[in-house]
Amino acid sequence: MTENFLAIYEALPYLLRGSLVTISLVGGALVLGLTLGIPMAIGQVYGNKYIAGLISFYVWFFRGLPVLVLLFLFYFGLFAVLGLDLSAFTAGILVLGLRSAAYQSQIFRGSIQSLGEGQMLAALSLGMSKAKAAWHIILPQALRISIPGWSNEYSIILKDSAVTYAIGLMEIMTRGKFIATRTFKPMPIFLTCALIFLILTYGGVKFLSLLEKKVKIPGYGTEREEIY
Amino acid sequence: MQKDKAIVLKVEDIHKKYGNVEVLRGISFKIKKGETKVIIGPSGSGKSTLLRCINQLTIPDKGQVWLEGEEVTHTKKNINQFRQKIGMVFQDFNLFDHLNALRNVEIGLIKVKGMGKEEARQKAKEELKQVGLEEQAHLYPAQLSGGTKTEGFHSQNFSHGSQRDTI
Repeated sequence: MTENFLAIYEALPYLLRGSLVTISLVGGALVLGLTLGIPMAIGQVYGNKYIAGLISFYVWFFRGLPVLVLLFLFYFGLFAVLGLDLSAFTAGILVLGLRSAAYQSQIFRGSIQSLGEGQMLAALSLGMSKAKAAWHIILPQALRISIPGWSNEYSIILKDSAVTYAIGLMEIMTRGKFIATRTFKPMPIFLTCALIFLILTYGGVKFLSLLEKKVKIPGYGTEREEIY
Repeated sequence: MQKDKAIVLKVEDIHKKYGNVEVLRGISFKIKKGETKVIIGPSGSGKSTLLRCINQLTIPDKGQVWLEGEEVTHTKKNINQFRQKIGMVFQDFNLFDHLNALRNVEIGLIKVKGMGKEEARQKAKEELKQVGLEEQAHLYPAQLSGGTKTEGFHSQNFSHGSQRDTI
């Protein structure tokens, strides 16, 4: 029993360094997804049919393929064909990010649509352009509404990141496998990997839940405070 | 031309069809400065449609609108500038939910009129005071009662310098 704990103890620094890789990977992918996802959502709701059509195509493509397929297509396919000497880490962020953008755009689209047309009409009636209205009126509300759905996306990307094992990225699982095969102790090592993932998931979701409370619009939602 | 100058809003021969239903069949009227016109009709008779045709939230199939002698319909000009002059109060109180009452009145002044923050804040406070809402300036639309919301919306429109308030 003690040898199991010893194995974990020795493996921990190595695995934790892998966690840093995972965290950077997930962070980068989520930021990329956010940066592309928001404009895509706005494009689908307020854009003309060509823009909306293009975005729909993008969403269909990146949601329709398994992460593994996309990873291989990019890392072993596209990069080679284009002669790009990019790392597995780059491939990971790119693929996870582009894919996340597709999913995130739908989260935001749902939130924007849930506001109804009243907010945009009120903004336009004041003389705001659609762009100004989207930035100052629509997004502040839609983003807040998106937080619960978005925490789903966080946990999904975190778990998907483990697939980069297949292109040799030295994240948690790759390192876990490496140690497990050398020490012949798969159970304690993989349990440790699992625990790390659980902690990362819990931490992120908890953070988002606190964020949600902090940015909550007073009076909005289901908890009514008595003012009078 | 002399006669037209006293006329703030002129609406001529507006037609609007939704599918097979022709909601507006040649509506024309003029409003002089200081005048109040009331449009009454049963639900679904096209009142809101007419108002939306005036500030081009809906484009009429046929007909023209002039605001202070300038044509609003079929114009390449920036529609936003016309909308700044026409105030619209919606049936379901479209205040901006993520902003408190003060910010609601301010935002049009800052983002559309380009007023400075301090000036806008002052003006917003005055407008809220005028409708008796200064105590509730910090409250959000979800925390305001129905009547208060209407007043808030009026403040937003009037401070914006609307020529008229369309309800």
